[in-house]
Amino acid sequence: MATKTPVSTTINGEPVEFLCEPRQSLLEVLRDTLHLTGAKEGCNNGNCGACTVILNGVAVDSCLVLGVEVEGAEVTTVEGLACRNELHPIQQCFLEDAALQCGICTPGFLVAAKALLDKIPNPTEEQIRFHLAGNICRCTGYDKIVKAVQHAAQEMAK
Amino acid sequence: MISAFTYKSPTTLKDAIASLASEPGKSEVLAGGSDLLALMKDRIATPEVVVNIKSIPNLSGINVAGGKIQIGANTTLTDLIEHAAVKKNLPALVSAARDLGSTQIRNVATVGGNLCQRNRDWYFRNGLNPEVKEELQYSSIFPMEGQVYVHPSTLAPVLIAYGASVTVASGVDAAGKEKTREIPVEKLFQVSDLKGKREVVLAPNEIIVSVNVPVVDGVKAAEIEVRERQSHDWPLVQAAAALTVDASGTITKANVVLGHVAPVPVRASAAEKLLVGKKLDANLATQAGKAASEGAKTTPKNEYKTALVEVAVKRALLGAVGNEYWKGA
Repeated sequence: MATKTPVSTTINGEPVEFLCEPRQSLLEVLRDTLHLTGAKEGCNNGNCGACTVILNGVAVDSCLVLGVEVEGAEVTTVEGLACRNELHPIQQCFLEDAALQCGICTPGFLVAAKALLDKIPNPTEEQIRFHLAGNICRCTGYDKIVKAVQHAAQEMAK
Repeated sequence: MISAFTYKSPTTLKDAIASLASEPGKSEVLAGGSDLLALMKDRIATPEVVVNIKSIPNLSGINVAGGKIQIGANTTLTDLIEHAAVKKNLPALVSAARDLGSTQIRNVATVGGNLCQRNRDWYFRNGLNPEVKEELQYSSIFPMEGQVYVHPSTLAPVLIAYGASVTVASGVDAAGKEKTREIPVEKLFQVSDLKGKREVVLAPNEIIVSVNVPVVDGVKAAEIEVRERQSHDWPLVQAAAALTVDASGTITKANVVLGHVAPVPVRASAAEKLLVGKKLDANLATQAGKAASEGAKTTPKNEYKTALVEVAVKRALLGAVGNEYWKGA
């Protein structure tokens, strides 16, 4: 067993400490060590976006970040979006607008959309499509997802 | 899970160089990780030591001074495309960086890493599996040293067109200070043997510190990528053009550089020669495109690329002077 490294970080606003091997990706640490299974392993090489988390304010593929790299960082996963029993407006709009089918891409889309709306609160359709191009959906299609993000932007502006 | 390695996260350039030198050839630099970690997952890279250079201060950020824009090697592509001076002075570089990867990739991928990334050839990425060698539709139309892969960087052709250089930290002198050397981006690349010899001429203990782009008044530049998909894909062909045009409209200097057609970014010298001393119009741009594709050694699977080179060069040249005719009147 390789030596494990202690890592102190902040996940969804809570201080978290964990031990990991340097070769473990952030995605593996989130899912296997911290049991935050919202981020999904799709391609595991940065093509599908299903493992998207927000790292220090920007969306990243957690499969392409090592667990040891988040020392001192701030991480937001899809588990950090809802507030107690209340869904985040982006989640609510995805539900209302039927912007999901099988759901495996959804956590990645929600987190990527959150990062986008944090940066650009009122994005154009083109900006939404540009910023979500790293997330792949293989069943719903993108129109409903784009509409749900536009809807969420309107809700969040209220 | 990827093979185990020793992880180092030095906070000085000197320590990073020492870490790389301690296991020459068995260590890898980790910057954004979007290439290295994917290579490690596929067991194409199996380093014993991984040196994360993101904890080293001053390797990221953009400085504008003395007629040049100095881009720290660790600057992410997102930070590059959002920087006001870069947007104003280097529109072709912004175009290339913006079209690259996805938001998630651009948020981690660095300018230095983009130049040092390994090639995307399927044969290489499949562990030199001979069965994969037949997939040649993306391959080089200007093969070199028997290699048919294409260089993956889309920043490199643009940086070469702009006349950029890289500052490289290479070892430590007797006084304990890092030694640096300057390499024109054009001279940074070599033909890899897909084994020990990399796509860049850097020694195993060398690290790119910054990319330095001269800002010259009157230089007009553009880049065109011809793609199967508009996002999150590598181009089939890329052309970058930077033109210096005098008051009469005559081209006094032309840099035309092609990407994704050869194992290194290549200068289209015949096209450049044709352009200098003339005034640019659609006819001249078309001729320059034809000149750029001359000498191509194609196969039935990749011969379409010569037509793409012709149109990409034509569009890059006319786009540089603001004539984006292909977008419609």
